[in-house]
Amino acid sequence: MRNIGRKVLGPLLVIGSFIGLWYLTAYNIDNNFSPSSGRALVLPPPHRMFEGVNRSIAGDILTAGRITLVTAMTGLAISIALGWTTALLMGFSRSVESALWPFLVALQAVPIVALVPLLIQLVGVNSRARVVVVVLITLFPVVSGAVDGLNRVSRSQVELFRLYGASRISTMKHLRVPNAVPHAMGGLKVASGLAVVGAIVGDFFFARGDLGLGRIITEYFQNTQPGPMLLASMIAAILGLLCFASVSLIAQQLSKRWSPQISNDAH
Amino acid sequence: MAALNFEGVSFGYGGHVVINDLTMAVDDGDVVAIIGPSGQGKSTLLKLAAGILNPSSGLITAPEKGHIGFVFQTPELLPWKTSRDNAALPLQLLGTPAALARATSSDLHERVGLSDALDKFPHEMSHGMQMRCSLARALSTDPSLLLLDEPFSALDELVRRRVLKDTSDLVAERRMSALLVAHTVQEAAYLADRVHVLGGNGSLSQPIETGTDRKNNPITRLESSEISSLASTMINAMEPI
Repeated sequence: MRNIGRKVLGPLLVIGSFIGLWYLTAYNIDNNFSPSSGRALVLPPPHRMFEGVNRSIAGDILTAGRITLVTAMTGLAISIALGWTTALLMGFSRSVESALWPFLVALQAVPIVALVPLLIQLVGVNSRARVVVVVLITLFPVVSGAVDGLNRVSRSQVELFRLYGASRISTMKHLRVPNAVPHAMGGLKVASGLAVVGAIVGDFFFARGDLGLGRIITEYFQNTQPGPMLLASMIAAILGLLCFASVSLIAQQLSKRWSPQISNDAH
Repeated sequence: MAALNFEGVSFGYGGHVVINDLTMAVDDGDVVAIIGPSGQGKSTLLKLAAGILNPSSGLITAPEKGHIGFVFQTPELLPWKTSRDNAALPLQLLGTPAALARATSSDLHERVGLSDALDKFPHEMSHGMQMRCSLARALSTDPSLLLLDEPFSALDELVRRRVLKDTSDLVAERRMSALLVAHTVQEAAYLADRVHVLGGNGSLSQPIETGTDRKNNPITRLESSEISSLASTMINAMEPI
């Protein structure tokens, strides 16, 4: 009974409060409704949330969602390839690690807007630039998770490998990389959620080529169309959740194989 | 002939001397125990013997890599490998064909009483079983010298006695030489022919014979009064710390 309460009542309470707060906000915002047509101008109440969405707009939003997903996944794939290779190099050499860390931390801290002029010069105002934004946003969690895992081996295990004359490559292959899998998956889970955010942020700055969700949200905002804007935002949230859930599922399967005690403790 | 020889060996780091001008030998087939307060460099001594650490000065003569087995204080098994694959790891690292490595590991599992755990992962095994697996791993390369770093200290009393007996039998059966860092006088008396006390200044006492006649009669064990007397001798041999 207590279990049902925790699993069902808790979320229901949160959703109920959220909808209540939504109604309260929608009907208390000054000038939220057009005096002539009665349409919401800023935030439609929940029962009219998709006001102004027709078949054509819904089609545009779904197409934009597909483009955003492709941008996010392409960027994430590049980030994984680049990030894990960087992590391996850092794992092989302490000097490479200490040389690259400040750069990676700084890269994460630099606001994307500051890099826009440079990216325009390097790749143009197109979908490639949006992919670069995804890479910039997701690279740090991918690298840091993997490096953390590569380094988090017990000293005795490293000594055991040294006892049998294992080379650095062999120690990397048989000890450090398998040990890193669950940690790398942790970093990847964070990055998967950020990838969609990165694709949308990229849309704000690089608006040529196919329109993604970020660009379409901006358009609906400029044209005072809160219903379509809300639907596009929900699609963005769903895409973020889908990416996170898919990566979490893969991570769970890999953790079962490489870190059975962790996946066992988690159940 | 000595299986392991230390001649004027010193080791330290950052101006801190851990081992100071130490000379000792473990003869072929002998089991020597080191006992002493914690933090005095007992484990360092084993790592120097294993070639994991290099001495600051002095000469160490030991078997080549692959001919030394090492049992750590904790099992140090790889969580993603089964018990069989964990015990086969040294052979895998030395390039032994996988089938042979696994067969050797299976035989050793039987010998250490772990036949039922071959396909178990470490988290599915008790601490005692994990220690047995780490013993099987140390024996997988058929080493001539076994180094044991307080492997029994974290075990429950009954399991500890059982693993201690099995280790003692295996060492005798395979006529291995062994250097043991002992947690208690009882352990040292049970396994070793001789005991050194490592003092506070990083140097060893003269060897103290345990008098167990382990080689000729492995079943002979000391009476508790004899262990008490051995403990007194060790305490007297200890440098002031």
